[in-house]
Amino acid sequence: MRPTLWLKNDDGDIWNLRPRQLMTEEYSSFFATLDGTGFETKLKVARVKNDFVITEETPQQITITGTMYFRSPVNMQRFGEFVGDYTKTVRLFYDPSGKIDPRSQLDSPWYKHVRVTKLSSGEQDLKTGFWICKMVFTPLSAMWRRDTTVASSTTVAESDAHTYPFVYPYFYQNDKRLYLNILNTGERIGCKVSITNGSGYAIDQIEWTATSDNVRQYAKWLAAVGLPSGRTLVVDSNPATQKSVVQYGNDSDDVSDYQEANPQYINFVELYPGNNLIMFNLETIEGVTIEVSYTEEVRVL
Amino acid sequence: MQYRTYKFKELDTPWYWTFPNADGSTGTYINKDTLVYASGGAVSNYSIDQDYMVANNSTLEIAQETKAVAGQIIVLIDDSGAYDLGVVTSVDNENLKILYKSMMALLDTDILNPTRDGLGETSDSEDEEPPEISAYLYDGVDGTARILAAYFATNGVDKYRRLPIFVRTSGGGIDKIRTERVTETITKSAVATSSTLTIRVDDLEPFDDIYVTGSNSIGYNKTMGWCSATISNCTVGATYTVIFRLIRNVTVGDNKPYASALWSYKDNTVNVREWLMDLFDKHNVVVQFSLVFETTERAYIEIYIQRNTAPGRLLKNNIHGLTVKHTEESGARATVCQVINQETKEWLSTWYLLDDNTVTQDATAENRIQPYMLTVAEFDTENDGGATQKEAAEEAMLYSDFNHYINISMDRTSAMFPKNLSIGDAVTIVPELQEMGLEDEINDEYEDKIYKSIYTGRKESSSSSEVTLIFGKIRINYTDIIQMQQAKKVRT
Repeated sequence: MRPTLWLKNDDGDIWNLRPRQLMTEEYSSFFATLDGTGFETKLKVARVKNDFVITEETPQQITITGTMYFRSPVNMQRFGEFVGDYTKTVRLFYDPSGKIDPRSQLDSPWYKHVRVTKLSSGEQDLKTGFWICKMVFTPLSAMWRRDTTVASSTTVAESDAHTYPFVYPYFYQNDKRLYLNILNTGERIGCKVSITNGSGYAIDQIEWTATSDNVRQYAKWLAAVGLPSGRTLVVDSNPATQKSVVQYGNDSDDVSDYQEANPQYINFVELYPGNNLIMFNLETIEGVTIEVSYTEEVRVL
Repeated sequence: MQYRTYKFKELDTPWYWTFPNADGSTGTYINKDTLVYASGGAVSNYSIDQDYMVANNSTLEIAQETKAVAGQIIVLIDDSGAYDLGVVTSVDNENLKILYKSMMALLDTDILNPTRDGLGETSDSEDEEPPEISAYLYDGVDGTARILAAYFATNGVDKYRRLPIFVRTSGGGIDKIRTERVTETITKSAVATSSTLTIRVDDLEPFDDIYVTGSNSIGYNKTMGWCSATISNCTVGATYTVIFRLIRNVTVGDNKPYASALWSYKDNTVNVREWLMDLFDKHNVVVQFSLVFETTERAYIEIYIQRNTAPGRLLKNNIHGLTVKHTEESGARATVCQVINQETKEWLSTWYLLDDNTVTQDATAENRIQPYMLTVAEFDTENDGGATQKEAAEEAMLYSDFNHYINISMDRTSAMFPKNLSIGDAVTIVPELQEMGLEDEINDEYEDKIYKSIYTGRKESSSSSEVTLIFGKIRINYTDIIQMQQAKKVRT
């Protein structure tokens, strides 16, 4: 099976780079001679007698290159509109197995954020009739990423302990506390925790811990946040999107001043490699929905 | 990024605003000018050095020649509104550059000493100096507001010195002597050994009133310091709890300003900026500026004076890409103070600095700070504000609580960047997080692991998204140190 490739822009539009039937879709083209989907690291070493000891390992920014075949200049023009101006970043999805359909809502494909940094505008090839252009994607991350979101569903009385099937990630509840188990098969990563209060009254106690092996991370938001019913506390520990806000409608308030000051509380918990158990300790779990999303990372697919 | 400069223009109709006088009456001040657009354009590059402690220049590289001139107010504008504010100090149209300093430069001017003899009579005349508005002991917040208003926005102010300002304050006023009710709660439990149980508390400080819950019979003696409660119909072996609420009427306040400061300037003139810097150094009184454009033609500089020591903002080292650097400085300027009579120069008393930043007259105190560093404080023995020799010694010796330099660098595009942080805002900084294991327990006593500080400066440029925020009252940059030392020499 041939690997599949497609782009997705901020609006959620998809541009299929490897259509199954050549050029049957308006918003597609064929991207051939793909190169640069692997990785490269640069090592700094110190020589100790006859051994080289690694002192620094730096992932390199490897450009993804290839050749685009457009059916017509209109097709090429639409691609320009899809990518947008030079400040726009798009996501390049890659499935080496070629099994995932770009429009699938069920699969969780791997991607890199990329900028289109070169699209040479060529002439029509007289033999094939295609417009052939060299193209370069410059990735903004060294790793391939995959998003996962898991949401709690507390539909039973909080006095009744219940669990969900033990397929990672899964929630379970006990003694007015919600637990979430996540198996992180990649590197240490950030995560986004969203707590939506639908209990009918404000929640003053907002705490959680994340435990992995011998490490325990604590998070606590002060009562001054006073998460009213109908509002959502969002705490994101990813480097590029880090924030702590309370959302209501289309507005949000920054609540980073209301985090626990104690240096023992990291407040923005991260997921360590391996199993991570997050325990949410709120006043109630009835009517409260917790959503945790995170992005797994791998070097090569 | 764009810039706008504004100049002063005389209004056809002046407008009046008020601020309370020290005696509670209402003082009226006048704005005869407004701010009008002078020039503006695109900024190609910028380098901002906004610092409350030192008068450094910020630089703008502009796209076209400008009509801006030194002395005008300049505003740097980005998509979200005003980004920076200052006073133009230099314009170089050949190299397309504008230099400006912080708004404090606007107050870098001399005024007649407000405590100078001979002042004190109210006048509406156009050519006289304003009335006396400061005493030896004055309100560091509201008194400062009155001095600024009187010297820059009264009828008699010279047209080349007056400013279109409006002053508001926070944390000023008089701590009046008053009675407050203080409640002490004592909870006591006992096991009943019969159907009647009496629970008694002894050795209490005298109290004025008492409320007891969980009992049906109360006995107490206010002056002898005991109280008891009797519970009837008890079940033998059961535990009963009584809550005693003791009320005491306590006299608080000293009829002095919350931010008491002593006016130590004796020259005929006082530099306003130097005086405000000293006020910040000793009493944490900070002056913040903003521009207000009303829908009418009125526009003015709003000056907000506050004594801000309660940390409202939190900066914790759990933000990606944030770095914290910290330098502490020994705060003591002097360890011994001899107070002398301001008029006769006669010696009055000697005071010693202690390690808890208080003063004593006891030369044998064990916690005296060494080495011997003498300073002399002149004291106005005939002051009518109630100032004491001890306060004069404290003014000369007590060191500031923000005597450090904390440098925090972070990405301004991050959602975690502390937006709306204004120079003078008090902050709590957590410089380092503690990694926690399964065996570690939460310890609520962490005061020694955080810094209480105050935001005093910002450095950034268009060439990088990294912004350096500066906290505290000392500087480590050599040119900044020289500038501050020079300013202190002028003040003393």
